[in-house]
Amino acid sequence: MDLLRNPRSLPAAVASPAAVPRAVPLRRAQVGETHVVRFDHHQRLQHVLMMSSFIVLALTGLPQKFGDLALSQWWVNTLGGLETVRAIHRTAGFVMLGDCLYHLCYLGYRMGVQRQLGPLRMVPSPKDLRDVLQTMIHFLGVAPEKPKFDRFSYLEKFDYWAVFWGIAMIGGSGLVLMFPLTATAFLPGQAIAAALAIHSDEAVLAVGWILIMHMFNAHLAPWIFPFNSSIFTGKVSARRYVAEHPLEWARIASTGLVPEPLPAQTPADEPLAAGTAQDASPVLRPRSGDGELSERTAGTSRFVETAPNLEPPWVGGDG
Amino acid sequence: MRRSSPCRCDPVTRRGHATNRHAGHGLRTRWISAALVAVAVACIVGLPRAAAAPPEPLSEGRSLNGLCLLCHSQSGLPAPTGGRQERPIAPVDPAAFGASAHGGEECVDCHAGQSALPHPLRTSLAQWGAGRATPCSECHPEANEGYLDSVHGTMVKLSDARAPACGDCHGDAHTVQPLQGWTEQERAGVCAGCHPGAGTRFLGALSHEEPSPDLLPSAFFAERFLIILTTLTLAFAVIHVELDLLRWLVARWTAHSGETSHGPSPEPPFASGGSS
Repeated sequence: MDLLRNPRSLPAAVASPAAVPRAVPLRRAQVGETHVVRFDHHQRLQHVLMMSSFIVLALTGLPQKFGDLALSQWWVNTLGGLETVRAIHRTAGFVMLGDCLYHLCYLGYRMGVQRQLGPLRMVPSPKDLRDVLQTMIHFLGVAPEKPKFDRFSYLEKFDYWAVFWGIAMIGGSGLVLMFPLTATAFLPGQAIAAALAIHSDEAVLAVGWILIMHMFNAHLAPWIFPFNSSIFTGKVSARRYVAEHPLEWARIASTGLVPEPLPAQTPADEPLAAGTAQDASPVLRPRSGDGELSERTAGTSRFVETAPNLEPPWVGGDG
Repeated sequence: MRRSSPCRCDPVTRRGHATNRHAGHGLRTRWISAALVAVAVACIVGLPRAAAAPPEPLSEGRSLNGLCLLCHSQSGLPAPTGGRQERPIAPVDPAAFGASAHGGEECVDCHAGQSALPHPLRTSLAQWGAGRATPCSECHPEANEGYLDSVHGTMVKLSDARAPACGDCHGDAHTVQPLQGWTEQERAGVCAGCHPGAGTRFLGALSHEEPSPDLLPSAFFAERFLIILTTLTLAFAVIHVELDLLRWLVARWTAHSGETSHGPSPEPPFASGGSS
């Protein structure tokens, strides 16, 4: 925590943006680099469930909202008619609601049983507002540096809470539309009309945000294109981590167990072969839950697990 | 060369027609035959009712309903379907029609094109499907728009055979009564036809009018709120992405200029930190 209060005490590679290693597109080889395991298995699975159900919901929901379009009518007929489309849509909706429940249980276990308060880092703070302003000023060229982010930047927090908000709004209204008679047992009838408005309009907001902001930051940005795989592999290169989340990297570095980011040992444009990084195997693995570490060396890559939501971060095995 | 006529009277003045006894006998025979056929047809289709109230000559501004009801008040009237089979036409009770909400309307207002005889082969209005295909929207355009915006309208747009037509909820157009005259229990009973168990609370679920602060206020304010929220959020997203990209382009251009004049310079770091 001293490092956070006094950035000057941070290692030079973290404290000074000028010393931050150059960004390397994700398609470039990362063999031999230190990787940070940012997302655990549960988080990766939750994202896969969320992503797949969201895509299905969008593909089966938007044609219903824009039923006047010939494309919608063709697509619905191709899928087997409106009844089939609604069945698929509702099934995907239950998958998304189940995923939300899964995530809440995951959070409850992390925070309630394991006493890990790391997820609280996702709670918005005044710093996020300052970061938004500083980012905009940086974009306009007034400020030379962009803000230093902790574990979650304001955009990641926005993404996360937007999903929470969206599921509450779209999921709740969807249940009202799916069970109108049950809903009117304890709600006024006009709640169904309101649910229809909320369900369809909120869906446009969600799809618009994903198509514009999420697609840009995860795929279309030139420094990302074509794909940021960290949410699927769980791993982020240390060099990238230092650049994107310098404040958290400072905490990781403060443990003294984290090696400095290594330069890439392969040609920059060579694609990473499937399984190469996995085969390189981790070197640091937790022996018990008290943070005591055991070390195992194999291969040339090093994986540092931040134990995604742990406070303080601990260093462990591969993802 | 003048064409020969079967009648020997003057083809222009018709003089001598009455004096031609042979021809007059033939004419009488044809009239008698035609009358017999007419009586036979009338017996079938119910001309006795027509005889009691013979149709008035067609003229501008006069109702044709009486003429239509000559046949369409009868039960068992068949109509061709275009194939080999015929379907029965549901009879219209003139008294019930006159007392209905549409009692003052002309039959041809809804059944356009059917004033010609024989009627052009057309599909029954009841089979045209709901919403856009029915003639109800001609006189009730706002209700039709509200209907098409509802969950029922989505079924129409996407060709769902289960989509309720106007008559499925409001009843037969020939006997329909103004909605204001319905009790809530009667209206809920209509809903329960497709939604078993629907009670009077369910009635507020659907309206053919646009939500307003007075009608469906929750839907009205929810929609307005989401329009504002969507606009602001997506505007922020677009501006953020554009500025992010612009900053990256400027940094690249600056770096490129620096390389050409002072050697290589560092690339811009990750822009927003929002991708992992």
